Amino acid sequence: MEAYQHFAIYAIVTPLFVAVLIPIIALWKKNWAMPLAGLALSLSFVLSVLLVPKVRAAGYLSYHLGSWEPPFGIEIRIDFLGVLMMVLISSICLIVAIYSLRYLAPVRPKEGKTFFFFGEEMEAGKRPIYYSLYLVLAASMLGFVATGDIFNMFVFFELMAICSYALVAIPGTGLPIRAAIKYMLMAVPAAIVVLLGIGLLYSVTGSLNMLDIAGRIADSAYGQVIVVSYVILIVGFAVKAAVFPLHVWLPDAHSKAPSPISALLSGLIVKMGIFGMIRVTYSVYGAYFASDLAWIVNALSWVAAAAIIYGAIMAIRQSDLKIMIAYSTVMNIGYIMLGFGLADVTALVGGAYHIVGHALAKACFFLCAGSIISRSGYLKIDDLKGAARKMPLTCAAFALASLSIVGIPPTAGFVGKWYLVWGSFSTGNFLLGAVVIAGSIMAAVYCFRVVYYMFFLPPADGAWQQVAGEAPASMLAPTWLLAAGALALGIFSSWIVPFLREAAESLMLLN
Amino acid sequence: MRKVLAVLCTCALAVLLIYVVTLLPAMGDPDNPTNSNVVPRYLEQGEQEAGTRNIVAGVVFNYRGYDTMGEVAIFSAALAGIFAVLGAGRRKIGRAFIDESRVKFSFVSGTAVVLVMPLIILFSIYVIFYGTDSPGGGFQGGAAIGAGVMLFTAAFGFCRAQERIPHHVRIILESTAIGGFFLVGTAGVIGGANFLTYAIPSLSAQSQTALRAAMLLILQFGIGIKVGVICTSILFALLREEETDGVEHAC
Amino acid sequence: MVWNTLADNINYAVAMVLFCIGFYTLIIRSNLIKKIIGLMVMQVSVFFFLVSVGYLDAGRAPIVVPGEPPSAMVNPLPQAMILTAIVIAVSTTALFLSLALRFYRHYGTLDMDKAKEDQR
Repeated sequence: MEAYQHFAIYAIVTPLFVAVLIPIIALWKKNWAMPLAGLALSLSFVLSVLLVPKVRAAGYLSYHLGSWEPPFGIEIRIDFLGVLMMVLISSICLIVAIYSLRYLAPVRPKEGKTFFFFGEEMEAGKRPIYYSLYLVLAASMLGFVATGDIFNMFVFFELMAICSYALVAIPGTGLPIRAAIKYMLMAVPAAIVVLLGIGLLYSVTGSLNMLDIAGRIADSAYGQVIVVSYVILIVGFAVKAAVFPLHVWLPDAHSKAPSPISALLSGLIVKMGIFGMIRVTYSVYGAYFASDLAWIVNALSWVAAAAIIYGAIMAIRQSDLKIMIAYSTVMNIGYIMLGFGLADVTALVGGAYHIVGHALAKACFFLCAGSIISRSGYLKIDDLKGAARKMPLTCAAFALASLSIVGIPPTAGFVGKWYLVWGSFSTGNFLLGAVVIAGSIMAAVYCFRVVYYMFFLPPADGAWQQVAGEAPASMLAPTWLLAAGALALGIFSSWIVPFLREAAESLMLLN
Repeated sequence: MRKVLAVLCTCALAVLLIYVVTLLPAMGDPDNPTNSNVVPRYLEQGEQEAGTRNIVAGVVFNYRGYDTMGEVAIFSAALAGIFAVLGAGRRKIGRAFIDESRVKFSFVSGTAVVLVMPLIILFSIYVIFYGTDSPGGGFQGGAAIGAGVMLFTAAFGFCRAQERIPHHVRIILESTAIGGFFLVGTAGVIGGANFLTYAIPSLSAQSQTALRAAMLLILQFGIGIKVGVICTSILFALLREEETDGVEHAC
Repeated sequence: MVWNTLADNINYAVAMVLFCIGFYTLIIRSNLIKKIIGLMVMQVSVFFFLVSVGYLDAGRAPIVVPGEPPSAMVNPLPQAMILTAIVIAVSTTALFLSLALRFYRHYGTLDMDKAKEDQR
């Protein structure tokens, strides 16, 4: 057995273990929480990056936990898309953890004021808990994308959900609590529904391993049960992914959470819902996909188009910066869903590219919003007039990320949308392709409005007078790293697209 | 309007689900996929392979031990979440509402609790340690410990209960289960097998069995302690929130 | 024919009806505690369904007794799954109740509709 095979499990387990160590160490050393979290996440990041060439060479990595061969024990099965997600998750979690340091414990400037979440500082005693939950959240996402067992997927799905409810509510004041309750009222039933779907699937196959189930349902006598279980699973994951009619919880939860958590929620956690759909559709129901399930997936592409239009209209109507960014997430989830719903390799590449590009750009958006809120206390878009005079670097990062969200050529957003349009035209869905383009124009309206306010309008009377200035370096650097990542992914897309095409082809090949 | 919509939604859901029920294989049939696929191996070789007479414990701790690790992490995360929402600091503690309530526990009930407590703890330890051979295990025994603490709190009040198990002790004990999984799992890797393998291939068969039994015991015990402590911590966190509303009393 | 299968699978049918009752409670009640009760009913119905899936006619508990045939034991896998799922359900409910407690402290009501948006 070679050493690299253990990398995946340690990338998942190390953050989990450090997460339980942090509260103990915090009894004596309060300030060690963030360095420990950073250390654990960098280890995960290094291990995930080291896995990439190995997975690429072999096609997949299969690791049998407890040395039980697959249908009997739990299998970790990482394909190329999975390992890319692992790198994405561990890198964004690491970057946002660095940002959290000064966001949670701001250094008070000599002049001017500093604001916190909503005018209240989080208790210092909650910081170790924050990092502990944060690490568990990172570990659960890594475990979710790595697993090859459908019940294990549910366990990590729930772990992720519990951490995200708690992190949304961590300020402990009225609005975040209300947002978290709204989130739970949608997401807990969704998790129950996912368990029901898994139960139905188990009752007709008798197995929990994805590959094993895929083999067994191919010639199953219970075709209709399998179709219903697929619908149930998709609905469950769609709530977590905030697909249009089930998105009601998203604007509240994403805008009222602390900004680093908003970045993770929008950048990664909603993508986990989509990843769950992709995984279930191609790895489990591959055999049914082409025939009995085609109409469901086709319907999803129209739902996605509705999500794009609805999200864009709602984002344009908002006056609060974070709520606007949250509605933009609803819209971009529509794009990713479209790539999945068109059931075409090119479109799937576009969707996968958009997962990565949107994760970087949207995380950058929320971190910029967090910097602005914590320095100035302004939440409304109208108050941002002239922001660039006091915080030029933060505003410039916001402008760069908005290029990617809109889809202007040298950015990651453009590449994703390009493949989406190409995929929808080549499958003959001209209307869906037109929706993608129209969505980009609407995105330009809401993004560039904010950029215009920041750079080209003078501040209102008295506003921005007492703001101390630019955010500290440990908040600026993560923001810029994400913005530069979104740009670099666009420039170097010709390196990455072949990998993704390979991953998409290997997924689609299963049927 | 809302009511009509809700009734319609529920009816549609009910029709769909009942329709599925009519298509499912008959319940209890030995030829069902669930009874003929993966499970026969668990039933026939479980005692030998997993080292437990109780096959459910064998599946939970051995065949699907990774799920159990996730489950334990969820329990920890829920406690951390409750601390995150209600506040974790060791701030001044209010007097428990039971101390203030009109219905006070009498001398008789207090004595009865004192007499019953050792039995409850003994019972939970039995359930924890015999979980591999009989119904029970770490989760069930831990829940019994939690119930015992709840009884004690009801009889003697929150303050006296909290003195017995201070905050930092609870924080340390909470980590036993995940720490146990990490160490036991890593032991398997060092021994040359995969994570969470409770056997080291290079050893003789007899020492393998002893090693596996020891590792299962460590896990059961760690989970038992952890579940008991987390139940206690959740109870205390909720009670304190209930109480700090009014006047702040020191205990 | 349909009625026969339904009669055979009466456990499944009851579980599904329970699921619908829980779902109805969840969407129709505005009181948070009642919503949580609805959620718990939904959770329990799924557990009930899964336990029934593992049932075997005239089966006994999955504990090895020397001399008894292993094939007469019920399926242990759904029981193990439910053990996991119960802990998950307990954790979720505990977190939800603590949020509801905090909500009540803040807004003075457990009714989601009555609590005003603009209150902080």
